[in-house]
Amino acid sequence: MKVQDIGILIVDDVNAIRVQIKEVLRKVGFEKIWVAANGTEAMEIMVNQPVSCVLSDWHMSPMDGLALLKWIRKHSEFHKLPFIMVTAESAREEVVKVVIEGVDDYIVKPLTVEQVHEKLFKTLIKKKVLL
Amino acid sequence: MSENSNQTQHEKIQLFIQELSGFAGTAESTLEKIDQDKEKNRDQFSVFSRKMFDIRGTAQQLELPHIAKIAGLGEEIALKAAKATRNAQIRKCMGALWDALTTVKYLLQHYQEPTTDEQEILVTRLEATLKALGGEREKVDAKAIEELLKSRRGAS
Repeated sequence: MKVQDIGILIVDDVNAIRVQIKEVLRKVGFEKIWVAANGTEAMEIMVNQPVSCVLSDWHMSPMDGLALLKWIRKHSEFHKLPFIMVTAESAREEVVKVVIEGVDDYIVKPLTVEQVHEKLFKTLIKKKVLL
Repeated sequence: MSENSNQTQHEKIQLFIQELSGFAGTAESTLEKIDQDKEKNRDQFSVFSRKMFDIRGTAQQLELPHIAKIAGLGEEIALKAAKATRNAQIRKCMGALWDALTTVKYLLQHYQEPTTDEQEILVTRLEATLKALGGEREKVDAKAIEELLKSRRGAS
């Protein structure tokens, strides 16, 4: 799959951040981008759209990023989907929780073009989404 | 949901200010509620902490480090306040949180202005308060996160 064909789902409860991250992704060539304000909205998009990778914030309501990650990892269809947490949370005790639950990578905000190259592309290649 | 991704940095920050002013408003009403009954409403510190977290995360993404710094200190102090056992500690936290919130609100409205000595003094004071309460939670950087991920991959 080429970069422009990869569907990325951004999940964040702050509109300004969704806009910013979307712009960063467009700069590196992604064209298919969906946005959701929480895990519940994300699930709805995932069942209706060809999402190839999720970039999710952690603390959101009614469903947070950790709950979304758990749902994905237990889902028969989506369990192998690349999932990268993009959050301001950097307390060790918290980060460990998502590592245990199977997050593919973890980015402490801000998400930059450099981090997309270093983390997102690396994950997509590793998961054989980007060839 | 669709958003215009071609906004200028100024437009994005305006959007951010608008959104974050709402968060700051919630944080303010939360502190007022705690002030009314510190013992009964202490669980509200977690609400305040979450709002400071939201402000910090957005400020980090939009590269407004002076706002992120103060919001981060407010977040950590609120977490300590939720676990404080002595009234004197709670009162001290409340004073610090009002200072942090007031400054964050000011900075949101005047984000283009350079940082002042007053803000530096406030940061120092908030850091001292946090230290007196036991210090911030252990944080991990990108390298430490990579190590955590590697150790999980090695274990699985």
